[in-house]
Amino acid sequence: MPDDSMTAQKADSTGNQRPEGEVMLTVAGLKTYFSTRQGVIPAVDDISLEVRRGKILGLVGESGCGKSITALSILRLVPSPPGKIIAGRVVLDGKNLLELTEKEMGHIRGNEISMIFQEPMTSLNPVYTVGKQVMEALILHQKLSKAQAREKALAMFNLVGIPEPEKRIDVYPHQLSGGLRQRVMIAMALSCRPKLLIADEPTTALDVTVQAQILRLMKELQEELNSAIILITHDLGVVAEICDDVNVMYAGRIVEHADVYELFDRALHPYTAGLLKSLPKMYQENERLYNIVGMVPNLLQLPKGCRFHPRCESARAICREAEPALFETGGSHLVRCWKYKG
Amino acid sequence: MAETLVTSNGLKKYFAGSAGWFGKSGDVVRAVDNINIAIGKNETLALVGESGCGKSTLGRLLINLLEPTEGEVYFKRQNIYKLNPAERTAFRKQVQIIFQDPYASLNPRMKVRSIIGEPLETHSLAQGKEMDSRVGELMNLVGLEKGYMTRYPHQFSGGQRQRIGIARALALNPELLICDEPVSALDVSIQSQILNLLKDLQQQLGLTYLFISHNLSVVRYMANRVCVMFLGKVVELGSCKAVFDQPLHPYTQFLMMAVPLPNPKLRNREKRILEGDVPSPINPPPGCRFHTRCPYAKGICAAEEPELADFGGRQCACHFPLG
Ligand SMILES: Nc1ncnc2c1ncn2[C@@H]1O[C@H](COP(=O)(O)OP(=O)(O)OP(=O)(O)O)[C@@H](O)[C@H]1O
Ligand SMILES: Nc1ncnc2c1ncn2[C@@H]1O[C@H](COP(=O)(O)OP(=O)(O)OP(=O)(O)O)[C@@H](O)[C@H]1O
Ligand code: SF4
Ligand SMILES: [Mg+2]
Ligand SMILES: [Mg+2]
Repeated sequence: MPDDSMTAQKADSTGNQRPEGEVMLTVAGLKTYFSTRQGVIPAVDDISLEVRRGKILGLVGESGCGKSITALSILRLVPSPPGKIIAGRVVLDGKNLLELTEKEMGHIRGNEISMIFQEPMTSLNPVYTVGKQVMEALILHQKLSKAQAREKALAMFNLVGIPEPEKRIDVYPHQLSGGLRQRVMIAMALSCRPKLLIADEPTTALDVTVQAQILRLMKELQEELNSAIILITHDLGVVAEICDDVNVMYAGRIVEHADVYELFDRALHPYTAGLLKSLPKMYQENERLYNIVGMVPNLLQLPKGCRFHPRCESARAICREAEPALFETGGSHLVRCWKYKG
Repeated sequence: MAETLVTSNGLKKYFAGSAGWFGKSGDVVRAVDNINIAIGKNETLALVGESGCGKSTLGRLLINLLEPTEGEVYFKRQNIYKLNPAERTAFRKQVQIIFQDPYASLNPRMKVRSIIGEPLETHSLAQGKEMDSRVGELMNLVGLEKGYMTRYPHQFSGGQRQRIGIARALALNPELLICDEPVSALDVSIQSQILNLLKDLQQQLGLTYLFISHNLSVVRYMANRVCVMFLGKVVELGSCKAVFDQPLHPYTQFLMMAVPLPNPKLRNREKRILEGDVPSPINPPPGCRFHTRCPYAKGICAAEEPELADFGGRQCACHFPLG
């Protein structure tokens, strides 16, 4: 594991200082399309992003906007057919993952990058006990003996807050509650001590106390290994608690990128601003919740111009005609909206 | 509370434990352990608590998707476990559930049209063109393009699948809807649409909700009352306002404090995270089930189980309630 904890700096608590972590993963011009009978779905459409060592990058956005497919593309796990990565580069510490052989890629998964999948049931095998599945990964990737793997698996179950791990290790996935299954997935992903962890909605099935524990555990491991995390989540509270940078996606595109303090202080894209306005408040009687009018566009019939314009309160003539680029608005704050063209 | 719609009496559900179906004797998971609750007509009762504490199990028991180990459930004063076939069919029409795991609950080989239309077909309520238009209507209601009717579940994102489950649950205009984490996979803009929709439907159709959620801000928005569970037991129950403003049970207090706040400037605030091992429903600790993690615990807590007692219109099970 390379150690450059010396170069990693933390944003200070006011967030004025820009994060300086070295870039570990670069995704450039990534396009992942699905061919279906009805047409081609541009699920991920020219996405570029950077992940810094020792940092947590948040990925948020409308459901269906392409977050999971972006993650699966990085790991080359997009179901194909119908999916296909048709353009772009995914460079991890100098290696373009899209050019590796399947065997080399197999080594990267589990050793260098691991993923917590959004739906634990789809990635846990129903016919094997959860312990066997975690042990298998450890035996394969970390070359542990069976006895060592069992011990390690038990320790991981304990770390992610599974009560009485000795009693749970030999059960089948359907015998566990949603949250316990998710913790099994998290244990599996973290046990390989990856340098990049992709966590797709890792805590949605968990109650907030366990969530807080898991987030702290992820953060501790990340600091210990000086690794990086891509955190996909709908929970803007979680983003605010632990992310350093945030990318906001809409309909296959990145529409805003900013440092986390900047984003919550000064959300520029009308979509991001709408998201923040839609949050219910915890300590107030809520009036009717704000919501962004309209529906996410059908990816088969994307609107001309800005993809958000049919729902946007600030749309102007140009918005219906041409798609805006990602404009720079100072620092690392980027926004894909005509209002901010220099 | 107005008229009561559902009541549970001494409801228990024990599962055979880990060593397979014929596990060592005594190895049982006490998922739901003696629960008495009542849900009023047209009310939203929220159910919150640690994952694995028995919320989904309780939800399933209330609509007879699971057989209890002990206890009864009354729906409109009828014991739902003692219905004759005709009553059972009628009951099935009046209660629906939005499942927690949308992927596992949607048949991967069925098109969305059939998934959402299935309940209509089972109860012979619509067919052919009429069914298509009703399904289209339901899809629009939950913010899905009706053009997607001929797709299969795997062609949707997680949040889209969750909305398919919501549309299906609404198809029969049920009276009681168990919402098991109905918006957990949705981004906040769709979340607010769905929550507003559920509230509108409740007003228009007089629906009753049992609303299971880990998101306490969402609970605050949706529910009239909130029921906090810990390891198969109710530890606190009261109006949302009372419980949020001043929790009585220490576990409730920890829950409230663990909520992540959407403001990065507050991320370094003093946080108290629950320490200690999560106790197990297989061997629940004696006395108060929370005592192994409770900072306020004293001798009696390990020895005697606190009763769910009344505190001016709300209830709490703790020897040393806060406040
Ligand atoms: N196998 C598939 N065939 C066709 N379309 C697909 C397939 N898988 C995903 N898609 C489409 O690709 C788009 C992106 O899906 P993705 O799962 O990345 O969304 P997401 O941003 O992760 O959403 P969520 O927050 O709901 O999980 C969606 O519109 C979805 O309908
Ligand atoms: N079929 C089953 N066999 C054995 N144990 C079960 C079964 N179903 C649930 N359990 C156990 O019962 C307990 C309660 O599960 P339940 O699904 O009701 O929890 P929950 O509160 O809904 O949790 P979550 O918030 O994670 O969804 C858990 O310990 C779970 O492992
Ligand atoms: S470009 Fe126009 S339509 Fe798009 S977000 Fe900006 S103002 Fe709205
Ligand atoms: Mg997803
Ligand atoms: Mg559950």
